[in-house]
Amino acid sequence: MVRRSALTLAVLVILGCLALFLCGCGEDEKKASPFLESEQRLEGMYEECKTIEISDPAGEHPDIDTDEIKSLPEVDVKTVLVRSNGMEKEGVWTGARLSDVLRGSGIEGPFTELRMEAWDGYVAKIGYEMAMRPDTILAWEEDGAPLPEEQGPVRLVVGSEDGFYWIHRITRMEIVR
Amino acid sequence: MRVRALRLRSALPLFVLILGAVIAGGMCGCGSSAIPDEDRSELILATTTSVLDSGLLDVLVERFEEKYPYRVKAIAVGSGAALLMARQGEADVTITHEPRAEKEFMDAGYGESRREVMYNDFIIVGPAADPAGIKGVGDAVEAFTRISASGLPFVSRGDASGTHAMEMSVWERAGIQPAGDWYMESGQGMGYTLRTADEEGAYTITDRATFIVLDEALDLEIMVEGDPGLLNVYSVIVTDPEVYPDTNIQGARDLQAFLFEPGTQELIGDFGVDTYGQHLFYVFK
Repeated sequence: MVRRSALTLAVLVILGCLALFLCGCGEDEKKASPFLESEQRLEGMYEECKTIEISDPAGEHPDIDTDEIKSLPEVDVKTVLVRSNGMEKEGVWTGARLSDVLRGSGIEGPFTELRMEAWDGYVAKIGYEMAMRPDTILAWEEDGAPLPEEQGPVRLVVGSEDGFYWIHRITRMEIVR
Repeated sequence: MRVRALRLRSALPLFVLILGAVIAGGMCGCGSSAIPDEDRSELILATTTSVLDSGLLDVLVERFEEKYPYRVKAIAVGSGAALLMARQGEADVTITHEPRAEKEFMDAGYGESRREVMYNDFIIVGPAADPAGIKGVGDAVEAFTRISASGLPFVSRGDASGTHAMEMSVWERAGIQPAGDWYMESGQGMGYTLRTADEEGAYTITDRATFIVLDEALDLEIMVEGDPGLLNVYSVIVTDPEVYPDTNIQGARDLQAFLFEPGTQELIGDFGVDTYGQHLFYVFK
């Protein structure tokens, strides 16, 4: 009698465990959410991107606060954004020169490359010469309006280059020397 | 009383053994692997967002990591961006759905090998009332021509995605340069573009997998499907280690091979059927 009740208990616990594991292993329950996984992953992105981490083998530098960038001299870059699929978008981007931002952070040139990393892991690299161009800016406005929030507080604009370099949602800049 | 306690004691080891076996079995099933973290190297996979948004990416990565000594860093971006990452040596392997760009990538010498791994199709969706009268025409070029002529709203991705590349190729075949108040560019991903089309009562083009995932949250309906020109082929490309010697070449080759293992192909082909009642992807027989 006792053995039977112990076995019943064991079976119940096992069934419970199985149910728990099956729930945990379930592949893909249909979501009622109108948002895709890639969109849900952007939660908290904007706030995180307000601080850009700097990595430089030549020394330590404080993180860049994107609000502070706005106190640097402001420039307008009128150019055409050429996307990788050949599509073009003409506009005016307003921001601070990247060269001013780097200097303000105490980063001395020359360096080999500047490797910029985005929130989603996307990476674009630009050479020293490109980073120092007057039309290479960290922009916070597009055509007189703040950047769309999904692009983050600032984005890189390289007026004379294809959209590949126009990285947005920047979280980290790594100086390669 | 003593006899009862003894019986209970003798049943307990059996119970513990069975419970242990169930827990161990469950952990195996959930992707816990015997490969220690320190034996794993990082493998950077740049992939198109539809593979992530369908839910397939997570399942594939979990299975791959169970079997192979890598820690996959999956970066979901547009196809164009994924290939551009690989061009700069920032991705070991890519999964994209933009054949023209992939061929250019290979011709330029950035890829070691490219294999077509799965497919579905692009579809044109729009409001149920179908004011442009395109439902059932079965031909994307004809549908786009009617939408353009009607001046009814169309929402374009307008970004560096395979979907946008397909859209532009249809406009090109139709001999139309889309522009005007009726033509809106979201500049964003498929989810935002579909929701915008839904709110505006507009037409748009989407990959089928993403539409299936969001279908219940939208009032949009499928207008055009089955056009052979709307085939959506996903390819896996291993970055050429001769261009970037730091590439995790073995990992990239292993991932590519894994995707063609019979078990993986079966998983891809069946993926989502339980949940959505239809295939999200197909594999080549």
